[in-house]
Amino acid sequence: MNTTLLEVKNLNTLYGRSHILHDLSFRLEKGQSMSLMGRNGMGKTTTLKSILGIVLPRSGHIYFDGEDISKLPTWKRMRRDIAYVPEGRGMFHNLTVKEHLQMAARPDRNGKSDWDFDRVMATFPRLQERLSNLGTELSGGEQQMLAIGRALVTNPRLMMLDEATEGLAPLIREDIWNVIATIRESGISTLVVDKNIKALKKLCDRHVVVVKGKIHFDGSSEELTQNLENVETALSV
Amino acid sequence: MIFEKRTERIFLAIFFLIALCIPLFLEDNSFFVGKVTTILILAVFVMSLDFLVGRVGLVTLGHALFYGLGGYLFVILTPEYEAVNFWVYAFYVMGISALIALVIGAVVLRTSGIYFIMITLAISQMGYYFFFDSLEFGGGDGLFIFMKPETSIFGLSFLNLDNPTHFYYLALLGVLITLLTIKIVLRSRFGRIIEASRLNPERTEALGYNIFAFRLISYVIGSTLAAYAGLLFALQYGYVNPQFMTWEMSGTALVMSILGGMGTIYGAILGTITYEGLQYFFEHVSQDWKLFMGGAIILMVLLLRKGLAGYLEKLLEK
Repeated sequence: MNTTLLEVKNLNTLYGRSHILHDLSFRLEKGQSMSLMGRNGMGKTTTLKSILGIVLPRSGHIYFDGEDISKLPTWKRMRRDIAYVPEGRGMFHNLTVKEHLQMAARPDRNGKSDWDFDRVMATFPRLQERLSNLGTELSGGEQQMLAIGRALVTNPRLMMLDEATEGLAPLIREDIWNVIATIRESGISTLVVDKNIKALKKLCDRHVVVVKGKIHFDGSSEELTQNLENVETALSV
Repeated sequence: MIFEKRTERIFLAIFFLIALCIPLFLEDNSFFVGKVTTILILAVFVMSLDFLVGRVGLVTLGHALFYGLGGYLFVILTPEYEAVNFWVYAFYVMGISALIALVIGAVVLRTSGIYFIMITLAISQMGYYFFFDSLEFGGGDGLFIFMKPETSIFGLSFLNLDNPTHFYYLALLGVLITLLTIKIVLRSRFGRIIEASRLNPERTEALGYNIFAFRLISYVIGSTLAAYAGLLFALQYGYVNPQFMTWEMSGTALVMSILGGMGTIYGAILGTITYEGLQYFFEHVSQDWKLFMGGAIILMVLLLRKGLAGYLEKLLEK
């Protein structure tokens, strides 16, 4: 039985002549949570966008649950039950909170809807009070909750979060980390991009550090603790 | 609620109230009834364009192709001296137009931005020259409708299309049906996805939606409604010619939509009435009416950044 949910193999992505990702490879097992860390401009977002097909890699392969999805358009990849919470939240400024959730909601490939509107409301009670507000009228924390909620109602097997807590107040960050832990406990694999090593070490099973588009570190939380100095140096400006 | 904004509800209530009463006051003046009928038909066309441009994000300069096709298809499909059933043939015309829009849309929607504008313009001009150059379709003179269709449903007929007042109410019904169709589409989940794909196509695709398919369906809806407007126009004047599908026709409709408040849909009605009203006024004031018309449009666009609907909303939504 295939235990790997996502496998990125020898990925090379370029923006024009700039070579961003160099033979990037890693694996994410089913039910696992993985962090992707690195300084700004090291290729974290490009990695996520390459997995999604928003940016097309020059070479390499992406396997999802054993299937090569490298050649599929973005929407077909997402229909394999992948969800994405983008950096900057990606609100649609003409849609209300309710409309964001309604337009995104769909069952998974097997027709199951574990995450529906009511469950998202129960997870994020603050959104309940703002249902008729436009997405852009929400605070940063509420927008992130809505972006996560919008991803959850697609009933994913893998959720990728880019800069999950960037620009949020410490208390709100704590809420977001707790929600990501809840998502993980519900069986959804997560790939989290953030800079908070402490929180990520607690939350994730595996950690990948990218430096100049190459894997600098790939290991478990224990291995991360053993190599903390090395990783922190790679992450510091 | 289909009509979300207070301004929209107030405007539409006043518009339909006045529109319903107009023939009662102008029954003896068939010229004005005819003129207002034309405005209503144009409003259907402009609403269909406003939906595509303002809500789906497809800026097309080839929309008039379907306006012309609506008229041509009706004349081509109907026997020359037989009063066919309007509803049946309107259904045929719209069905065939939808199929043609599906084929054209599948090609043009592979482009975006300025390339989309250019390719829609090119296809529309191809249509124009095809009909202009073909003798079997009457060339530049076009084709004539010798018999107006009958409108019976299950043997009951309420409208006689030879009667200008009856035709007026058919056009008004067209406005209502077009408005409701577009609003229902926009209020549905499909409409939300369309809205999202206009605002951020990349993000919408990353939610698992094939935005090409959503845009294609929208293109078919907008084009089919335009064909219906063209069919009504051809029936009103009894002919159709290649002038129906010129890029100027698409451009004028675009100006009406911008003037009314792009993407508001009800603003398209407002824009059409204002444009046609201004044109009628300036035509009677000066021979150089186009100059004044241009000046008035420039002024209005500069002063009313969100169109007339935006201005009304500013006044009434406080």
